[in-house]
Amino acid sequence: MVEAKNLTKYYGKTKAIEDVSFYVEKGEIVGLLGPNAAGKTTIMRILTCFLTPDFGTAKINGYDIFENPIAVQKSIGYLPEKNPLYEEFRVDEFLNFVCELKGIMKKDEKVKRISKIIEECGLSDVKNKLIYKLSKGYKQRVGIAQSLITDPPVLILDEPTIGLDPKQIIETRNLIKNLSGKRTILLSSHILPEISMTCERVIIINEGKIVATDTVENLTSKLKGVKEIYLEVEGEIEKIKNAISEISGVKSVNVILPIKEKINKYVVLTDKEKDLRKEISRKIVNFGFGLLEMRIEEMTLEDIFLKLTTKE
Amino acid sequence: MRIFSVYKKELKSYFTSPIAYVVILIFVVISGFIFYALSAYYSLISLRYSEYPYPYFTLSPNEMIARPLFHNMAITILFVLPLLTMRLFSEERRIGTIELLFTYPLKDSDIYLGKFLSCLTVLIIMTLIPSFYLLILEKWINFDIGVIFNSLLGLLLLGGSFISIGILISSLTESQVISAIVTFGLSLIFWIIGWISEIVGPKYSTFFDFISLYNHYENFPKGILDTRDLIFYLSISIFFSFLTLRILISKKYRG
Repeated sequence: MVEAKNLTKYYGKTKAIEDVSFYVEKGEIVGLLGPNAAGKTTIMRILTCFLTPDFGTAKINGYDIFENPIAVQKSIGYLPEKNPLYEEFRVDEFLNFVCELKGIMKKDEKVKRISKIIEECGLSDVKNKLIYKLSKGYKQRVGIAQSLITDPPVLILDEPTIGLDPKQIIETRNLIKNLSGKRTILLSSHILPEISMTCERVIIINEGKIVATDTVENLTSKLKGVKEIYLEVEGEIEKIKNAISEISGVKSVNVILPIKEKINKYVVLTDKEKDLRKEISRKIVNFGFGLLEMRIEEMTLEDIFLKLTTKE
Repeated sequence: MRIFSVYKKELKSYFTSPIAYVVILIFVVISGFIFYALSAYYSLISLRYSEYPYPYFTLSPNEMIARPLFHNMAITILFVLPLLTMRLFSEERRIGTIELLFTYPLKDSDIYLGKFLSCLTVLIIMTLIPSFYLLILEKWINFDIGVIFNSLLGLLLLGGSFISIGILISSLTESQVISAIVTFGLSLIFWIIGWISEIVGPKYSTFFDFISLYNHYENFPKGILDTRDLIFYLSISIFFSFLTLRILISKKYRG
């Protein structure tokens, strides 16, 4: 549905993105993840034909961005980064203009689509208000409404939840989730929970290059290879270390820091497949130490992200 | 029909913000004042010469009211049109709505022409009002209506050139103020550039005479419709429109 091939773009001499290729299947929700200035917006602007790549090309819905930009633009709904709107208009007026600009000219069809989208995006209370008077959350909904009004097969959302309060973020996220199914959605964010909650697949991008692309689960397990168990134990450090190390499957035991006298935190790295909590706890108790806390530390998307995007 | 969609949106924008009303108001007040001054002077003169039949019959209302009125209107639109063109691309670029407009399934030329025509429409509304004064006065004085229409045509052609210059500048900057100032300066230079034609010598004088926007305007209020003037103004508009379209494309490449 969305296919980017070797996209490269320079702004003057600064390289924005380099050799970016990816593919998004029909009906997939894919997150474009990266720190600020990684090139997310540039990629989206190229896909929407707002910018022209220096090298490479892209296809959306089977149409090439160079050969048939109008057809590409017809098949996408785009929410730009800062959600710019013609704020001097009323909501329904604005949506009416968007309809016309996107080529829906028949009056009854316009009316039908506008009332449907107002319903879907929860804008019925504010449809007669001027856009600049709306709250940020409502403006965001208007932004999403304008991208959806023609019912395009592909949605491109650039940081759809930026600057919203937590409640609005959840609302927007639910709205996006409800849109999935028929539609192909490409959304960008530098907020990681965002992506892990809404997207099936993640493309991680840093300094203009794709560093990883996979499902959230696969990325986690691929990068980990080991399981981390956190322990808080009362007792002598050396004895505890030795005792735990003896268990088969334990790769290493590290002491993090003493909390109080004799109470220490340990990180035990074990094989990915095994759950060694039982053995460890039995051993500690058998040796007569006090087991205060034990938990498996899941690697979050944050960890993966930082691992991938920071140089060591 | 996409041009028409952009056109409607732009026109609505003009009239939801106070800008079009303010510009039209200022223009109408100024041209109303000029009209009053000219027709008062005309009535004074015709009263004075009413006892002398020969000079009295040579007094022409067209020459004494309509022609200077249209000359002054040309200078007035030179002042006020930058205020109408300044926002067309600058504001969209500053607010970011340009990203909406250019990602909708529209051709650059649709967007450009929609904006151009909406601005031209405001100009037409603006210039029709003073023309009505003349039509009202027609009840008592015999104007040559053809000349008035010819002058109006000249004014719109001239205005079209100013608008195309204005949109070009507007597409180059995000600041509306800079856009307005540069447009005004550039329009004024094109207006007065003919002045140096006598200084630069015969070799270049024809050139400077030719590119002066003012020189080509002179004929219209006289009632002369010269195809050279017509084609001159159209080519100026087309030239600047072409430049603007190239700039819009280059922005896509340069980011």
